[in-house]
Amino acid sequence: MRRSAAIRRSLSLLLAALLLFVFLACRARAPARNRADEKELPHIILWAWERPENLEFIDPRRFGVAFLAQTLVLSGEEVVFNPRRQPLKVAPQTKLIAVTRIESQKTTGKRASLSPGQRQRLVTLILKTRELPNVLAIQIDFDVVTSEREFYRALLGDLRSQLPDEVPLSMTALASFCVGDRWVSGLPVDEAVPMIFRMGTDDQPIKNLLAGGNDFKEPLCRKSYGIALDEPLQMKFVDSRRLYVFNVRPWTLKDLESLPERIQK
Amino acid sequence: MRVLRATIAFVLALVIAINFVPQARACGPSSIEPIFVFKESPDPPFADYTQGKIGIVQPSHGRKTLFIAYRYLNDGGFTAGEQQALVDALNGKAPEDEGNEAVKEWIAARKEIGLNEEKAPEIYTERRFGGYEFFPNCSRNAFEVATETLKQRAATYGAEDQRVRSWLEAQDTVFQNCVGGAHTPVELGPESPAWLRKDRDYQIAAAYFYSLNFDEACKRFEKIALDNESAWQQTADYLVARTLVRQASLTTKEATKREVYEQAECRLELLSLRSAKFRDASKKLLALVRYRVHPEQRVRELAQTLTTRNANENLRQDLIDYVWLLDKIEEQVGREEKKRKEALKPAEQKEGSTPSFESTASSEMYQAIQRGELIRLTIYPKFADGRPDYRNAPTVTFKYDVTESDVLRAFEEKLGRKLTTEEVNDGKAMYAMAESERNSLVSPNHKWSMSDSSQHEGCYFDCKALALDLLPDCLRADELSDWIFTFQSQDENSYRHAAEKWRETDSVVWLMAALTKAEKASPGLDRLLGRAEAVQRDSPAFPTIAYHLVRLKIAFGKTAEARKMLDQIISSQFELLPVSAQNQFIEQRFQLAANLSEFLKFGARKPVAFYDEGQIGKLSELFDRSKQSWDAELSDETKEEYEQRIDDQYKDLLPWDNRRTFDQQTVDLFNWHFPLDALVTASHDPALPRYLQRRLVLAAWTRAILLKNETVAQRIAPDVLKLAPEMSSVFNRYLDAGTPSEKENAALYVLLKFPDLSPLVAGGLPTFGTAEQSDYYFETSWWCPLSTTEYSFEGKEVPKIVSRPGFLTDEQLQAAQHERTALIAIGDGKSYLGKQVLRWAGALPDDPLVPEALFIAVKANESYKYGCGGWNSDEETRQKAEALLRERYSRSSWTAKLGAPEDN
Repeated sequence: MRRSAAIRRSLSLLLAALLLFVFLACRARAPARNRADEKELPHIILWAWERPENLEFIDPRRFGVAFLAQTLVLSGEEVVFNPRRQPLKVAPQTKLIAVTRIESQKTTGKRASLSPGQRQRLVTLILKTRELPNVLAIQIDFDVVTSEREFYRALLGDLRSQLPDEVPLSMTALASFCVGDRWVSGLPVDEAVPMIFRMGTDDQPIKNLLAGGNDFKEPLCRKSYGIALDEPLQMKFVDSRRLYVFNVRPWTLKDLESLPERIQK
Repeated sequence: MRVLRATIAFVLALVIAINFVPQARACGPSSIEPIFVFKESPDPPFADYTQGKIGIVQPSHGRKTLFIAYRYLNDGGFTAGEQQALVDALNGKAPEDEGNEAVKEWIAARKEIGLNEEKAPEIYTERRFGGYEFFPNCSRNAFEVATETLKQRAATYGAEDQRVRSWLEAQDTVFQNCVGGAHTPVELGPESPAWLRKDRDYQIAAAYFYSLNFDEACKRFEKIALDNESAWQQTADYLVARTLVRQASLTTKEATKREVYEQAECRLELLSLRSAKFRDASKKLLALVRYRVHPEQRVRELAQTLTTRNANENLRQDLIDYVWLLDKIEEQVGREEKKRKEALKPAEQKEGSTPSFESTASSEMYQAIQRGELIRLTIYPKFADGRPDYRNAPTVTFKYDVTESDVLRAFEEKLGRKLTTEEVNDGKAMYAMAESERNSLVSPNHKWSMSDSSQHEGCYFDCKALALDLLPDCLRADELSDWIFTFQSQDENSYRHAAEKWRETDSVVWLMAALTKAEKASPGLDRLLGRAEAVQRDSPAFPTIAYHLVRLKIAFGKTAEARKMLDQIISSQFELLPVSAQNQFIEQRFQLAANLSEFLKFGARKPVAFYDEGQIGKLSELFDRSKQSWDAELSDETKEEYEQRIDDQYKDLLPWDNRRTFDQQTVDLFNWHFPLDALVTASHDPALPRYLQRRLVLAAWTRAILLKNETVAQRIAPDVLKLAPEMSSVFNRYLDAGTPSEKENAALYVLLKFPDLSPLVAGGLPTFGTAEQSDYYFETSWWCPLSTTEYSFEGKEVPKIVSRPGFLTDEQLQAAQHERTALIAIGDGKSYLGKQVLRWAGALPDDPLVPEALFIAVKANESYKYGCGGWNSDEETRQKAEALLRERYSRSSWTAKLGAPEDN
């Protein structure tokens, strides 16, 4: 009797192990949640960067705005806080994404300490952008060097754990992060927006890849696109993906009207 | 039973291990790039430049850099203090820190008086203004004064004194206004001591200032300024002016802004005369006001100060303000010019917020909407899964007084069906918004209220292309500004203007400007050249003038004279020049190489610095910084492991701080026009240091192998061994091989084992290791076919043209062309080697080296981002090599190393 009970216990354990295996194996393939869709953010998001912008003319059902709320510079042990200085005008119904740009070695030329204290300070300042009116989501724009990747990963983890569950957390990503070099895999974000512009040495390889009908390999990068108005792309856009658009000049109505032509190539 | 439990435990552990082992992260190519010439700034460190080592002054230099050059060119200089200020300005260091240190000291001072609080208040110095923008509200000085006052009061009355605590509480209230809100300390009655009441009055006035109630702040500061018994009397007097300035800066109405600034200006002019304590502060603030209100006058004042004043304690701020004003005024001119040109265009070509229309009807409809006569609504039908169908969204135009129900009915007619509940709700929201938009359009205040000015430094427009004549008089009236704009301008009239100014003044700055812009056909060139030839070697202008004299001599075909001049420069105190200037002269001399020795002597240059992921510096500096970056929390390695890895990474690189290397121009010439024989000859030239001979020898041997020129390959094999002894264990097998077939396979094995081998000469920093050392990760290994096209500055693909060195014979050039064609036909190195391995395996299946070769062939032909065609790879060769390895050599350790089939 005791022996059969022991065997039953052992077999139960084995079954649990197998189930665990199946669960974990399937984990990677389960469709990831996208809070940006849950929040019904518009299909097209205009990036409003470091210049005065009056976007009261946009249709808030079709267009959202991701505005540069602040730039945080990692300098040694410090986090230098540079809030937005240029006016932004939007209609009250416009849905907004507060973008925090983080700059460090690539901009300052000096390594930052990347300490836990510095990370916590970043989290505090980023969370504060939610206090701005109509902000529904957070986006981080951080062009990390290799040695900063783990720090960034930890920062995103901290942010995700301290944001309310329903608040989308987005990040921009170099297009190269979305193909061969896929270090963004598994990051706790709702999307990694591949920036298919100003790609430097990656420009031709990536544009050729996309023009050939290929897609980004990284699933997080398959939820949106980041394009620039002044860099035409020869590629097929997947309709369901959100489109972030950058403009080198202040936005005008004509810019918006030219968008469908660019997207439908 | 025990075995069963152990098995289950093992399975559980395995499951957990498989799913939680982190993914291997692939490494990308090295990113350290040499910089030979700094084009926009002086060579780092900037101290040499600020001490007068100005080298070749370039139009691409920034305006701060040009100002420094201008002073030295006019026989001026800077004190040690000014030089440091200039270095800070060039480094972009702000004149004042952000206030962080002052805030920290304030918090520390609070703690020192022994407050029993769980957490110090969070202090932010920036306040939101308008919708989403901030401005710096509480300055460093505010915290410094507060800290000093707190310490004084605590020292006088005791830290525990309730009055001191009350003072602190009030000050905390003041600082709450830094970030937002309107918090005012409580007024005190006659029962409080005078000192506390006076302090409180001041704190209350400050609270109104920081909460943007400027009228109240002004009134209160005025009252304190009249109180002879207040310790804050003089400060308050100054703060009235500061309040006016702050008020003006935040006012959006231009007329009011100007009026308040002018009030502030008057007040500050008086203060700067009568207040000893605030004289300097008043002058600085007055400068800011003049900058805002009289920018054209201010820019002239600053130019005057910068060119004439010595030992200027305010040099950094003056220079920053000056350059900022130049940029802003120029940008304004550019914007107006753009508008003017836009206005001249036909309607359909105009940019701006008015869209182009396909027809008159479209244009009329748009105008009617703008007038509020019509509204235009779009509804987005949904797919079954709820996603909006943007492609089939109908749009309907209505008269402005249409009812909501009529709108919904119209869309149902358009869609030919009833709207869903969600679509009805969307339609109602859309209707409400259209109404709101129409109301806004017909409102009397509807217009763009955004100021045209941008706070962004620099110019949004192509300002260097602005015609000089468009610049206002204030920018041309003083020589410094006139010279800077002329020197940087791409306007074709800039030469004429510079030459005229030179004839007027006979000054070296204008001589230099004119010469920089001169071309062969420039009028009056002879006289200019004659004068330029007379400039002495010790003149700060000499490097720039000499550079352009050489340029023009070359343009005129006077190559012998140019060569002679350059040889004189290079042979005499050359090392005293900045490295960028040295490299620019060497590049000119390289263009004039008359034979192979000269080509080699001047074809390699020493980098000024290196660039690595945003960092610029010597390799030793990059190494030191890398060593210091170990992070206990984030690193998988111990500190020792990390430091060892960095040591290994930089071991072979550090010597290159003091070595020359080939730049892209030189490398192109080797690879396009040097046939194999010439490459071998070059590799023996004594003009070349050993470490560069090595590059040529390895490229030559590889090329000889690929082109099946065994004679040359054998001839230079001893040189390979001599210059790359680390290859000997593998290379000797090639030397010992007997038959041609054995030699061929042995050479192939050498190529496989050393993936940095290539028939093409490489520039920059070398990478050379074994396949094992690279962990069989071959992203940028071997070679890619030489590209016959390149991308122009505008991003267009154009044929690549590499000019021919004059000293190579026609036969040599022809031979090079044949070899180039043959190498292009060989194609991508990884694919070629993979196919060669398959041939080898087919011919000699029992050769013990074949399994390793097949393994390398598999790994080489995986898909890599930076492969020759971006992720393109020879999948067919890879599959064949893998299949052969698994089937025929299943027990080989190389097959095991390959792992399970699905892992590849």
